[in-house]
Amino acid sequence: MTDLTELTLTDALKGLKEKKFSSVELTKAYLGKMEELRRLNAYITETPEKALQMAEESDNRRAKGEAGKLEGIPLGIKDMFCTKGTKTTAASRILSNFIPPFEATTTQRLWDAGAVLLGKTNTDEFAMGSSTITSYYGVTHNPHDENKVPGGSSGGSAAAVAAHMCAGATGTETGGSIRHPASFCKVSGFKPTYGRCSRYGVIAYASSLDEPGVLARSVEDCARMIEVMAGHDPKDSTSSHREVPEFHKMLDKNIKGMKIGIPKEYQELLPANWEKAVQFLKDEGAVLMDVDMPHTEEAGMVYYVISQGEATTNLARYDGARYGVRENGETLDEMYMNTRMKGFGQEVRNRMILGTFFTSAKGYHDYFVPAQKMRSLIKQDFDKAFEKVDVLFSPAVPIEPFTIEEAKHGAAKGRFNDNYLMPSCLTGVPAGCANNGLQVIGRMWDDATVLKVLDVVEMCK
Amino acid sequence: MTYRIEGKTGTWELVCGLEVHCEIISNSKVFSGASAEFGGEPNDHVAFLDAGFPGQLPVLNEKCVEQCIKTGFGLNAKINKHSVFDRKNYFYGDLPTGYQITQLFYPIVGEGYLDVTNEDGGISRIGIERLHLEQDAGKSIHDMHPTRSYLDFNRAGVGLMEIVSKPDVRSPEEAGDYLRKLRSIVRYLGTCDGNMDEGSMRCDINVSVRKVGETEFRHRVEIKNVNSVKFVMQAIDLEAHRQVELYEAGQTFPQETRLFDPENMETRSMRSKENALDYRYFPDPDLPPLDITDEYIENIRKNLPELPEVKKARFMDELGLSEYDARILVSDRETALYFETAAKGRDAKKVANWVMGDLFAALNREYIAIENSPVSPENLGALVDLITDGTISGKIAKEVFEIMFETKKDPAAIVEEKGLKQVSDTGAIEKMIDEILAANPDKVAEIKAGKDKLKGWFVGQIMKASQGKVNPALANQLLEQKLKN
Amino acid sequence: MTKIDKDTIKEMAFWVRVRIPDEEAEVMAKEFTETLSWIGERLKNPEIQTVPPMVTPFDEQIPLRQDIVTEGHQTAAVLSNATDATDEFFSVPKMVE
Repeated sequence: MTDLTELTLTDALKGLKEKKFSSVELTKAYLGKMEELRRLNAYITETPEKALQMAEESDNRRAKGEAGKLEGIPLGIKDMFCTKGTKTTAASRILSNFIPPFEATTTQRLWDAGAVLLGKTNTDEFAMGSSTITSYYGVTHNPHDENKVPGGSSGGSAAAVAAHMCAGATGTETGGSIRHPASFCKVSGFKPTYGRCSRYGVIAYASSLDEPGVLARSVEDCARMIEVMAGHDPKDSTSSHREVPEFHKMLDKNIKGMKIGIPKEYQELLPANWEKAVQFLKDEGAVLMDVDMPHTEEAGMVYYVISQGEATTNLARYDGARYGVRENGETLDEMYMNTRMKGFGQEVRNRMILGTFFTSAKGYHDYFVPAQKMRSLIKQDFDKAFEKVDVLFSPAVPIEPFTIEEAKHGAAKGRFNDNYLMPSCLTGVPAGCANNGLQVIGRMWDDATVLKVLDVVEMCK
Repeated sequence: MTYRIEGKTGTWELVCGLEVHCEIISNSKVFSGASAEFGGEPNDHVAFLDAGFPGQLPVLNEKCVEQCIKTGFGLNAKINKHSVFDRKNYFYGDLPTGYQITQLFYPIVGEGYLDVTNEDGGISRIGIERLHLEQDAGKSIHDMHPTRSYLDFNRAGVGLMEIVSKPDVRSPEEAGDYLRKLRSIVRYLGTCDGNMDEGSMRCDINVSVRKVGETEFRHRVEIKNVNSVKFVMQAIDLEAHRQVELYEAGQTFPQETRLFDPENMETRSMRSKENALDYRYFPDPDLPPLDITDEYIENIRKNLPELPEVKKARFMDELGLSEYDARILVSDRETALYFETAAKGRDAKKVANWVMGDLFAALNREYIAIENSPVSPENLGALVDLITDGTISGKIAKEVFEIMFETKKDPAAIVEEKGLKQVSDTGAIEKMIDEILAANPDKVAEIKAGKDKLKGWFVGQIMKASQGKVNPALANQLLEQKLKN
Repeated sequence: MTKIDKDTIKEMAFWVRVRIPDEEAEVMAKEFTETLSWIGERLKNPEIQTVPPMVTPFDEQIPLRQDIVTEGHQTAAVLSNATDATDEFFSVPKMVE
């Protein structure tokens, strides 16, 4: 038999449906690959027993003709999603013993659709980073070059997908954390419109930016996963009531006449495949035009202020009193200090400290609110662009992955690291990265068009 | 007398504002689906949100919104169609997320007022600054272990209305009446049970003093969590005097938070809260702003129960009660409800006298709340009916009332059972009078000689012989006839 | 211009209950002051006075929940991750009032 892990999610579904193999066989193949490539450190927690049990139940359902949309598909779940009964750490020592007594809405929907949990993937601690080096569980290696980082923060998911250690994986974006590692690991990643996917059960970093999404080998695979995860959730007050289309059925590879804007500000560095891709889209009948996004450069600064401000308060709950690893102290404050000092890594501690400034009375007035206004201007850039075009097209991360050594010395903080990613996070618009490192950004709630164009972009090798 | 503190250097006045936290009456908590009921086994009324678990998100309870708006109407206040939830950040054991969800910049209810009775018997208008919706904290228990505190999150996340007054309070009496009025209003509206001893209504007091004639405010001291009207009045008086003494001794004191100690009758500094905190308020990104429509507000207004001031006016205008009686009867919702039920279709003044007389006395004697009265309002009304239609005398009625209070029986049954029915049969009464007259010929003679006073003695004898069952007016009338013959 | 010194950094660290050694605080203060100065320049852009602050991308009304009890009675689950729980309470070092 061929290696089942070579199949895309879409092809694996087809094989399962045609009874060419069972979910147990598919799951075993992935578990084998996970063992073989454990040195990549893509997973924090592997759940082989649970996986096999879920696969068996899946096969039973399929036998009874009760197959769900992702029936039998083995997935990796970023360790920011709470999974009931399975350790969930946010890659932090402070949660290194945390077993959630509840399940995130998005992952529950994956299980309800028949998917199988392979394990929890590595991430930067509390998703704060873009190289997966701040994880308490160590760095994840890029499968294409093990001396390099996988990008981040969803680096474990991206590496697992790229190395065929899962058929697809969940990720979260706050400032580009899906598209960034997708680009570095050459897989597809999609962040839907803010409000599409419930944040219930997803460990918060910066609430007004956090958005669950997916990584997989193809855009179609992403579409199949996201249509299961998306949709209104009464447990999240920022979850939209808007209908969720069956995204994967809308990928008709037809972009004739579609207006595609290329932001001038997103072209400072262009990858080798750029010219070819532009020509390819033209050949497919799309109308390409330049658009102005004059406030692009401010996105990093706005993100810095807002994400740190929000993170500071989101992370206040980790005090060792009710869950998580506690370090004792004579007084309650001593206990808090010891717990949080040992429990959080330095990057997280530093962001929390600086974040207090932006929510202090002075910092809020002088920086946070003005940054929120700048955020409005960035949104206006998008609104104006989308008056003229249907989607935006650009490289996702226009640089090669850096080495782990470089990342440890601060390379991830470089200028072009996530400039093209952050504006779409701040404004909440849907955005995705194809497995060739090129991204498409769409109008609010028009996730379908983004996926449709991305699906065509992906054909350009 | 206007409240003043006479010092060595001059006359001082009090400047005081009150922040009252009212626990909202609702089935579930303000942002989670756990029960908001008081008490319970430790950590039983706890959703994962209430214990601050990761990934948990708040979803607003519509009832809490409605309760705030109702209370806003009770405070004659402006209802804000746009309000926003903010995070107030600080670390404390009973605060599971490290921040409290509250409303700083845009509260749900804006300015209003309450009219209170001051120490001169006049009316003072106390301005309301705002009412906002927020979460309660959990409870920490310090007396179960020598070196440990125990945390219970049953109360964490119960909805609270914080009602902030303007610094308009000028005497302990005004503060006391403000609290009583506020308690009465929230009870009428059913928005808070107002029990200060159970902590469902808690009061923080801001106290400062200044020389009479000064227009600026001097710096203030906050006294936290004072849990009865009496203590609030005492704490204000004590703190005002303490401040005057310090000023006059040329000493400075910090703008700080203090605790009232009723046992030692003093206020003292709360060390742990000495650092004036920056609570780092900012809008909670987990909750969109609360935007409500005129229609929504109007719907709530239309369904408001009658508030005490309005009820009082109606009792005076329509039922002819005196200002005093009306004020007493509307002072709390249960009393008003009892009175209105008992008085329905009857002489309100008579019923009022019974409620405020025998009923209040008996309830006070036995420490029973009026809503648990063994004499139901319907039965008290029936008792008044028996007097009105002449079935029993007022004197017998008092006896019947005591039996009703003891046995919960209805008055007609008691009258029947004990044979207390007033005798209105003229034949029987005449026979009784004849016997008494025959037995006292000397006294009859004296009356005939003009000693009219003795008639009263005969009536007394008739009442005594009938064990009080004779209608006294009838007895008097028949006696007159007999004596004329 | 906002100047952040070492002591401010240490106070900010206390706000989030972490410690920071003096040398680190010194470096952080210097870097943060520079960053703030740069951000401050960017935020002088007069355009920002023409728009409201954007708090969230979410554009729908706040959902209201019916007032019914749907959770609770799960003490074991609530306490299941606690390092120290006694008699159904979470236990912590004595708090001072």
